[in-house]
Amino acid sequence: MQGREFEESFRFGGDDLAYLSKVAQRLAPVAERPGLAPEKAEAIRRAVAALRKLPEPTPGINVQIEVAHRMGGEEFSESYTYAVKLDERRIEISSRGSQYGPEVGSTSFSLESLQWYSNGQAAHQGNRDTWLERLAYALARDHTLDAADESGDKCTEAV
Amino acid sequence: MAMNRRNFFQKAYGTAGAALITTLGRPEWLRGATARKASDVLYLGPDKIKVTRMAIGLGTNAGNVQRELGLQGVADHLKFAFDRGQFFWDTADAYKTHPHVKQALKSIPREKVTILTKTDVRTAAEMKPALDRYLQELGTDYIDILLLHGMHTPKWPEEMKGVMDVISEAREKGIVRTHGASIHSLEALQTAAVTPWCKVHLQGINHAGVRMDSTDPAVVVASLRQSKAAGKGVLGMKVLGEGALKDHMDETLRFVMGIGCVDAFTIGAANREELAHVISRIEAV
Repeated sequence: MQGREFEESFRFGGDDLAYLSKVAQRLAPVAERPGLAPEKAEAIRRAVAALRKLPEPTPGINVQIEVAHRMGGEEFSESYTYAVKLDERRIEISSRGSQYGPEVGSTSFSLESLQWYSNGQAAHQGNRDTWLERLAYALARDHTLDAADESGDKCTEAV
Repeated sequence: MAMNRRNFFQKAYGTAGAALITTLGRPEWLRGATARKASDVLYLGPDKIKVTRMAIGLGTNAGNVQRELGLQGVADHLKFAFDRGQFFWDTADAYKTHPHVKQALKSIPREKVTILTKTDVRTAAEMKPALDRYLQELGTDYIDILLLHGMHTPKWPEEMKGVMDVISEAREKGIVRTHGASIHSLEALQTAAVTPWCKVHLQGINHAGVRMDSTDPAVVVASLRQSKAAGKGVLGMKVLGEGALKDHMDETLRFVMGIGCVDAFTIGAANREELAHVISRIEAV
């Protein structure tokens, strides 16, 4: 194979693309929320555009979005984070959380984790539809939103 | 105009429901005069696990709705239900409501309740420590019903064999009293119906095909009947279509209790008022 270039690419099976389209659909309105910092809105729009374009890759993309939601009080507190990460080598949809109470102690856990790699591999854990439900729930309540766009110059996806 | 049998069902269930009911035969609820209660006691599946007709669901929107009540709030919710005869609790590792069950068990004797939980573990190596963790989180030394969570491929018994073996071993040791799967596709449901390991299964069922594994309830009901005939315990979820059928509660309750192949069903109430309302509607329909 020496001298031949091996082109890597993401591989999507079954309803993967339909699912990622739903993720884009869920995120799109978030970018239009009043008061959202322009750079965060831009990052979300870029992620949404890249997700909608799949399976066509977006060269240079490097975007991370995190929505965090807290519940409970002193007796028992919980926090959950829902993340979307896109770069040239990986697409990741994930969630994690923690619970703390004086009596039950502190626990941290991963919930859903869906990853597609540009070498064609994929790793899925948890129920993907539940991730969408959890995200919708968090977005409808008090939450914090972080979105960072470190896409390179060759990322020409319109935002 | 005289109301014939089909007209009656059409009025009660709508056109689709009428077609379904007339296809499937006379509902059990019309055969006997026995009133149904949420707290009716039943013995589920081949291992005859004692349950109530309605389980207290702790997984609405992946548990978010119940967890909003707080640790003690959920415990109080379960106590409120228990005091009304509802001793069957439906949780899952993924709902993150195990600590809430443990809190409730501080005021309710463990042997008085039936706990169903679900696992998202996908390998045998992960199952044993996960099981130990569930027992610790739930504050119990046994789980009444342990289900594989969210099976959706038709080959799930092959894919999950290692996990199933660990759970079978736990059943032999008395750590798990019975086992099965929660189902998220029609193909997986059809597999469940013919899989001996699956002694209990839980799947979406309502009169309108909302949030179910098929939009045609008749297809799902046919599979459930097959399971029932094989002696399995059949549990329903999404009876209210995850809230979408709240305004059609009577129709969906009448349907699920009338088809004769759902032993018990789970409903996740957000608070005491909702729970009391559901209990009262089950008695009324």
